[in-house]
This record gives sequence, C-alpha cells and structure tokens, in this order.
Amino acid sequence: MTIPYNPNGGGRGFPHPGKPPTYHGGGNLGGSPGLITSTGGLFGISGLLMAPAINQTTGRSFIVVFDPTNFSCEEQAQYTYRQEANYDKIPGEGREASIHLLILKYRELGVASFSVNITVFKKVLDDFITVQIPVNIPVIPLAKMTKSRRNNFPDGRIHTVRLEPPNGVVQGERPQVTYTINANAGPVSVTKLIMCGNADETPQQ
Amino acid sequence: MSKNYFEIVYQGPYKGVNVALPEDIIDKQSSPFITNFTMKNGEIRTRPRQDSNIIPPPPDNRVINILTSFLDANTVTHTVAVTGTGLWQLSANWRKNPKSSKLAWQLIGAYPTPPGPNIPANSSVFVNKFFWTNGGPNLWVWDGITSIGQPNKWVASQSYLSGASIQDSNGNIQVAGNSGISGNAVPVWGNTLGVQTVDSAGYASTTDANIITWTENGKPAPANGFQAAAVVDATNGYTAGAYFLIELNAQLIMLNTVESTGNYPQRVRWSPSGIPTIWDPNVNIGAGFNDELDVPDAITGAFTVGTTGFILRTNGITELTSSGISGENPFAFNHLWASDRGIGNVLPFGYASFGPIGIFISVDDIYNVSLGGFNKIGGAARDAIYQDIAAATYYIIGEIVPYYQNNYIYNNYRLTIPQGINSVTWVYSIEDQYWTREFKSNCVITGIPRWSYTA
Repeated sequence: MTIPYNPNGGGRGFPHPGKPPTYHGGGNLGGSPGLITSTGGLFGISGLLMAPAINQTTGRSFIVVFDPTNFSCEEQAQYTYRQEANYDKIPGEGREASIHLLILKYRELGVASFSVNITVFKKVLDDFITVQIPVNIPVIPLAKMTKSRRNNFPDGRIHTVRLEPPNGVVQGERPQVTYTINANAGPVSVTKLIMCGNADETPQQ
Repeated sequence: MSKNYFEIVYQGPYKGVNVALPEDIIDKQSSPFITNFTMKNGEIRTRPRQDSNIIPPPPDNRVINILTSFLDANTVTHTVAVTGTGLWQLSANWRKNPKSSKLAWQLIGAYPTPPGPNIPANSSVFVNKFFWTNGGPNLWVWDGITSIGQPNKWVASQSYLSGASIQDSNGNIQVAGNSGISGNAVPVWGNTLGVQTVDSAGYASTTDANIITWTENGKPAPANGFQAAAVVDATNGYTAGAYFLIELNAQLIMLNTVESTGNYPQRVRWSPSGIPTIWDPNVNIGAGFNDELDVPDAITGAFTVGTTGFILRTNGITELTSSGISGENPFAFNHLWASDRGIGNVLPFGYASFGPIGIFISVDDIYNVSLGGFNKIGGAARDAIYQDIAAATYYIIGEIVPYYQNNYIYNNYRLTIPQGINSVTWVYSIEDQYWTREFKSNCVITGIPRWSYTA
C-alpha cells in the first residue's frame, strides 16, 4: 500500500522520520509522525508541585504552589523542644535552673526575624513564664555590612549567634525552648542549639 | 565554670512530633509540637512557602477536583484541571497572562451530562490518554489530540493506536484492538455489537502487522471535547463511572462503581488488556466485573504496588493479582482478611501510593504497605494525627509527594485535613520516618497535590 508523505509533521501517514515536532509559540505543539496534531500542550521541561484548593470564606478556588526555593513561610510557624527535666544531670529532677545563654547555629538563607523563647515552670507561682529573645538575621544589619559581605548575603553557610535573656538569666524548672516566627518573616534554618545554664544542687526539701 | 554548670545540645537528625510520652520525657530530637517547620537533612527549617497567586485557577471558579499532567501519543505534555464545568488545559503562554484565568486556561469541553458530586476525583493515565472519574456514572477520557470529543470519522491510510475509537458509517463506535494503519478503502463495518472488522483494504498480505482489527462498541457515549469511555452495556447504552481508578496488568480498573443502573460500592470493573475504551464483556470478553459480596464492607480505595493491586475496604484489604488467564477471569482476588472489623482504609481519599509503597489510614493506626508486608507508621505522632482527623470538616486527602522540584527531593506522605476554613497537614518523611504538622489558613484542599508541568 502507499503511505502518503506529509511534510508538516502531523496528520496522515508516517512522515519522514527526521522531522521533529515544531512549536509555533502559543499554538499547538507539533506531533509525532503519523498522528493527528495535539491540542495545545506544553514542552514538559519544567513544573511545580501544585494542589487545587478553595477559600471557603470567599468561595473562590485557587491553586496552591509549593515553592522549595523560598522558606519564608506564609503562615506562623513554631518548633518546640522537649522540657529539660534534669539537665542531663543526676540529681536534677525537680530542681530549678538558671539559663543565661543560648548558642544558636543557623544556616543563612535570607533576612528573617523570629523569636527564641524560654519557658520555665515557677513553683512559687504554680505557673509557667516565658521569656522571649528576638533574633534578627543577619545579625549585623545589611546597611552596616561590608560591601563584599553584603554582596554575599545570604551565603547559605552556618552562622552562630549568642543569645542572652533580656534580664540576663531565666530561672525556673524544666526549661523549654521554642522558636516562633510570624508569617512572611523570612526563612529560618537552625542547625544546632546549645542551652547553657546552672542547675540547683541543693538537697530536695 | 561552676560545678553545676550544664550545656544541653540539640542537633539533628530529628524525630518529629512525639506525643506518645510526656514532653519532659521525650528525647531531645523529638518535639511535642511543630507547626510549619520541616526537618529535612537534620535542620529545623521553616517549611517551603505555599503561594496561591502564581498560577490562576480555571476561570469558572468551580471546585477543582483534579490537577495533573499527562503525556499524549504525540509526546506532548498537557497539564489539565477538572472542575465542575469540565476539563481545562493550561495554556503554553499562561506566564504572559498569569493574572487572567481566561488566557491561562483553555476549556477542552464541558460535561455533556451531570458529572457527579464535587468530591476529590480519581484519575489515571493509560495508553497516553487521561482518564478520570468522580463519582458519577461515567469514566471520562481525553487524549490530548484534536477533536476526540466529537467521535472521529474513519480515515483511510491513517495510523491509529490500540484503543482508539472512531464512528463508522452506521453511526456505531468502532474501537481499534491493536495499533496499526487503516486500509486505503472503507471496510464493510460489522453492525452487531462485539463483531470485529478487519481493516485490510490495500494490504498485500492479510497477515501484515499493521492491519487494524476494529470491534463494534455500540452507539457513541456522551462527548463534548472529551468523551465518556465506559459503556458497560452497549445494547442498552448503560455507562459506568466510579470513585476509584487504577491500572494493573495493562487493564484499567474502576472500583466502587456508579452505573446507569445504580451504585455498586463493592464492584470492581476492568477493561480488556490495552483497550481502556471497551468495558462491555459482550463486546470483548476481556472486560468484566466482580462484586465483592463475600466481604461485609464497601471499597474505599485502591492502589498498586508492583504487580499487585490492593483493594482497600473499610475493614479489610483484598489483594488483586493477575490470574495469568486472559478472558473472563483475568484477576485473582485474595481477601487478606474478611472479618467484620479489621484493618482497612477508613478515609476514602486519604490513601496514597508511590512505587513500592502504599499508605492508608485504618481505625487504629496509619499503615505502610509494601512488598515486605504491613507496617504501622503513625508512631509517636499517631494520637495527635487522629485528634486532627476527628476534627475534619471535609474530605481528607492523602498523597505521596516524592519531590517538590527536580533539585528538592523530599519523599513525603501528606495527609491534609480540612478544619473549618483552614487546613492541617500531617507530613510523614518516608526517608527519615518522622511526622511534622503544617497549618494553612483560608485554604481547603479539594484535590490531590501533584507535581505538574507548567512549561
């Protein structure tokens, strides 16, 4: 049988195998040999993680796009460590500690403002108190940086900041550290935290 | 340094949420509470941003049930959205008009019949065609090729893929049983349901591999830009859709079917091997169905792990494997347990699978199923997850997301739980086996998250 040769890369029959699909800028993409041309379509070279969603207040549908190039979360975020009951010491359980320093190591991803919070249980109040330590990244404001450092911000490397409570020390039982950050307040990436303090060693009463 | 000086060091790898023990007993790598932080690569990092104004939605402002991509027979990629209106396609030049839905999305076609409820729908890509069904009495298909919605007429010397359908001169649908090239003259079409027509005019040899054998499949099903694919009773024109759709053994399978004659929550229907547009056993004996009447519950999902299908029921799981017999009984059904109460999937859209892993939610824990068997994975976060599940106000949707983009591999299972106008998502790192929790305000997820092409 005779198979007609179609030089346009689509339509009927099997055209010359050397003819690649063609793209005409917004119109239909070309097709494989011998098949009817596709309706629209994409090259299939890049994409995004997406989820369909609806805002039930406004009734409007929308598409959520997950962006792993941007860690500035659009919602409030919080991470809480455990309560430290005995400071890795024996005896330690049920005793107060004085926290005077937090050493925070973080990866510099961009400008960010967040809080490192220390919560302790106060026996005399039968309640918890929380002391908030604000942190700004970069630690040295951009305007005060050297030009070379500013040009290299964010450098994606691990930095260290030493954080002291506003009143010098936080005293109480079972200290617990929490990070809190407001929506759109920048990317935070903690690699290590060291909590430094002194524990009460007097005999239990 | 005084005698009672201490330093407590917190560093990864972290273990995520732990509510199985009091917060002063858990280990240093665990957390009693996490929101919107992730712990990939041993760092405590704010989660990736979720933007809602990068790609506009289809302009009909209806609930989007499906958002995914598929590759058509021309190796052209299509990103499609299924809404209550019909099927939309993302335009190649959407970036030029990102704020205008009308220019960003092209309507392939509107539903010719009521589509089914606005629930999360199921889709599958099979032989380069996009199939979807959403609880209505139709399985819909679009192949990305021009004019499939209006049944194509037969064309001489035209190449057709297996499963392609055309409308013959008698007004009946003919389905290609194999890929090949039509003859150079109109064949005498068989005019009886299931009768085959050999399209060999012009061929020198009747054994030429390019000769197409067509099968008469009755009158056309509803179509408008895309078409209904599952005529399960061609004599009476009955169609079927389903809540769940998988592919196994080169056969498309619908589960928990919704048919012209009623709902069958225990039914499993399949197409013949490689021909997803024939569903009537009287047309092709390779099509068929099986009612799981020997178990007491309904089908709540299905996925495949390798060559094994798992049919999820409320109180049990049925293994589905190829019987090795072509024809009436291509599958073997093996109920792993058929008790009144047992481990099954209780969230119809909460399950997910990826390659050799499947995850589903039972009444007692979250399970990971693979070729090695079943494992509980709720772990130390289980009680907190189930507390959020108990507060759900809409369909809970699960999905395994292997990567966010090509250079950000983060294989995780996401269980999104709508709570009022907001959503809580529990994220399970499959690699590191920990759970974290995300929160997003003014957002209820209506379909499965998918990495989809945009260019």
